[in-house]
Amino acid sequence: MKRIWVVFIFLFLLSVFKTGNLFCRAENQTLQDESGFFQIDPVHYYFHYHSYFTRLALTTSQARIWYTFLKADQDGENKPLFIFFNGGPGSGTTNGLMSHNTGRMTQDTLSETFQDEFIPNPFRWTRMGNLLYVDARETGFSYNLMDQPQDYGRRFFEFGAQNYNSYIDGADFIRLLLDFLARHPVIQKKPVIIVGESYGGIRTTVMLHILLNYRDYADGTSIFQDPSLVEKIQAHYNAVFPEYRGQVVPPEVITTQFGHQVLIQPAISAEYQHYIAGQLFEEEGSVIYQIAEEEGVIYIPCSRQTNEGNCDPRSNVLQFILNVAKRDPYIYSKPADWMPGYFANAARLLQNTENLMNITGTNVTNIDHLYASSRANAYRLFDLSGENSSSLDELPVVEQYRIRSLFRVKAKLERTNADIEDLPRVFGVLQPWDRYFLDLNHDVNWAFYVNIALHRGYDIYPLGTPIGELFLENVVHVKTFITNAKYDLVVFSEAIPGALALHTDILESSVHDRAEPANKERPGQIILTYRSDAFSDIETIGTRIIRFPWYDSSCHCVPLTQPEELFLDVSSWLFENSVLSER
Amino acid sequence: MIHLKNKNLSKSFLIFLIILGFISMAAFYPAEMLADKKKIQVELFGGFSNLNPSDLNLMVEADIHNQSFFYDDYHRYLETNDEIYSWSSSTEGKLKKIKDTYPLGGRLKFYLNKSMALSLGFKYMSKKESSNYMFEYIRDTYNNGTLYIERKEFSPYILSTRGFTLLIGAHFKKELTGSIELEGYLSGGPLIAKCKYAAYWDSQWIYRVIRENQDYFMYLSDGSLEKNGKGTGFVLDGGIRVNLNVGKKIGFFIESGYAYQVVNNVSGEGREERDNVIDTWEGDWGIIEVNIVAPWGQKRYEYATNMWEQPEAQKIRDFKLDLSGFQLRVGIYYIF
Repeated sequence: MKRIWVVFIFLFLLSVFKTGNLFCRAENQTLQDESGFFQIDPVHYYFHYHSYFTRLALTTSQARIWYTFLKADQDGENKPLFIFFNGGPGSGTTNGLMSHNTGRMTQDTLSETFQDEFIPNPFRWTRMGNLLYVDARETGFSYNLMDQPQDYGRRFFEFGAQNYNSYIDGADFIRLLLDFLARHPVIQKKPVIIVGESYGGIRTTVMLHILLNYRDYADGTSIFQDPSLVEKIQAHYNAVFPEYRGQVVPPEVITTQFGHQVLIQPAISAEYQHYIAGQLFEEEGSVIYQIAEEEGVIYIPCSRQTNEGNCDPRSNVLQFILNVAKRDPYIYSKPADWMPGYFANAARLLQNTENLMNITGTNVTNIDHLYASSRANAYRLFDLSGENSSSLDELPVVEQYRIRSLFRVKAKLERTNADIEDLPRVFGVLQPWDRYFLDLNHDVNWAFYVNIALHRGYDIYPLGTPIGELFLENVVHVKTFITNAKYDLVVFSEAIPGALALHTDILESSVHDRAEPANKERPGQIILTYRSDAFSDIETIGTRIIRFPWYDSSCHCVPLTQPEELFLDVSSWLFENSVLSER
Repeated sequence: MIHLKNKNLSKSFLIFLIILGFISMAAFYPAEMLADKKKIQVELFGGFSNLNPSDLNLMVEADIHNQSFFYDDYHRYLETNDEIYSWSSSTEGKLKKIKDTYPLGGRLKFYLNKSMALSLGFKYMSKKESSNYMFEYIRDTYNNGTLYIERKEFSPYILSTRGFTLLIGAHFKKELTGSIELEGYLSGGPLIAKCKYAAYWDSQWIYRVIRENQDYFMYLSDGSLEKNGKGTGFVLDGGIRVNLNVGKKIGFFIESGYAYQVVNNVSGEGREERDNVIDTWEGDWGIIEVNIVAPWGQKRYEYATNMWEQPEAQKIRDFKLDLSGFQLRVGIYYIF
């Protein structure tokens, strides 16, 4: 009998010990580099036009979202958290911002040729704070799960509105961010700076609008209704702002945590940005004329074309740059495929286990869900025909370029560089519809533009003007930093002030002041003057200033071309905004 | 003066008073007017009644409004703004409202004298409109040999109601010829009624590549919405009839009149299933105003619901299950 009791007590103590371990793992009190997957279970949400009864109800698929956390070089427990993501939609972050002069290791961007390993980064943002990089659903290392992934029709169906639209995409990132903070209580209350590139500007806008106005997303006010997300946000605010427990936390309080955004060549009011960019391109003596002169070719603006009515000035320029001038629209000073080449090479480096360990600071062989054996229901693509896919024709011209460029660069890398990709050998061979890593998932990109929600007329077009309105509402509360890169024609940032000015129901004016702040090495700011009746629930806004520094040799991915300058500007801006205690 | 708490109660009370008045008139008829010995008569009847449960029918109207706004109006908007090349639509079947019913019933009549009787009876009516309906919209966005086709099928689409009432009544008759009598009647009593809306739907969005003669399913969705209601109300049923005696004890009659049959407090359970996501609820029925504002216009209409958890559901008035209507009935009677 005694023996039975001893065994029982032993088993009891063992279970307590094991449970204790689990808790420790769930709530790290000390920070360390980590990588892995956050699982997002199916979410029920809906779009509506002020009527629940006519809603389009949707349910997401189960997702395993890849993240990498790099702790700050010093005193991480007292430093802010930067959350990084690229855009696309469909672009990976791990081969984007993470691989280009923001993390502790970086791709060598100064070398004339593509290298086979990452190198230390002197301009690492871990000097400023803790870094969290996230690959969006089905991009980079992230993958979704489904039943019978071998069925083409079922996979095709997965790339629909339920998984891909700007709102649920932003909601995914909030879910992950809040879960991450909950698992790391030591930084749960610290300021979070959102860093988004390109389409990441839209994602940042949606995230911040939901975080600041979270009640609107469950009470029928917003077109997007996600009650479980709102519950999660409320639970987070209960923990961070206990004095507001059970109340609606006002934006001015929320911004003590989510009060800063750094946007790298962002799309924020993309339709207007494209319109103004087109106008600027058409002006006599514009950069497009200069490029034409340098290349000895002729640029014919829409205004001089016979089919002027059907000619879109921006698309006309992009076609000219790609097909006539043969330059890279992401950096027009360079030949075609220049910037996509870096992204493609980073993707190649990341598919080598040692490189992946170096850049993540994590022993990735301990990540169960990376192994082929744990991803029998995983899928990454519906269309396995690659660059020959007919669906590419329906994408915007830049996305077509990016995808086709990717295939060209990959083919070139295969010829010129060593085969270093060893993930299948280490983690197992995947099914044909699965991938360890995708630089740009064109099926995701396609799904954002062709889906049932848009078909039914729900006003959620990623590039539409409502996103610009959300952005301007955010800027009332959130300090904003936007890069202005000289050579980027895809997001021609010179057009941003003019594009914002077109929101005449919100702004009285949007002025690009190139001289101020005069004490800066790279001055530039946008002064927004709000209408007094801009938002019914916000009184007397007056003006807001967006920091808008000029990067005179930069491409679309500013940290790739001017990492030091960007680092200095961001750290200085955050210091002035009291987020950092030193520059 | 009697002050009554609410309108529903006052209406029921008024009906009760009217019926009581008629019965009293019959019961206190002067004794010297009573003829031979008292007779008992059993009657069975069936017939036709027009019906317009307008609040219940709002559900059908709402589904028609939704199609018109989200498909017809939207496609016209897209075409007008050159956002699509062309579009076409087709439908099969019809979403049916409830417009009539076939009441059945019986009564036991107790003759106070030759021309006057009291009765105790019941009436049952039931109507289930079950329809199948399909609409299809074909959109040619680019004029490049591809089409987007959206198809939605309701199968079945059900609207139903049932009512059962116990009636007490008063009858006055006058002999016209030897075998034909003219009779007036008024009866009333409690009404127990039920209603149901159930739509089972299947929706598809297809991408068609004409040159490949190939359809790709881009969105598939199915589900159902069921709402049940139950409540009690009051009936006042009055009219005239003609009796035809075909023997000493047997006769036929045809009667026509108006039956006021209304239930004001309806409640019940609901269930919705969308792509295997199930939601259930229970609540009182009420009328809300749906106000859809979209880039292509605005649509405002009333809708009946018993689901109140959703954010914008503000009741604008009570739901009324109105089973009133003109009725034409034929029957047979037997005199004991």
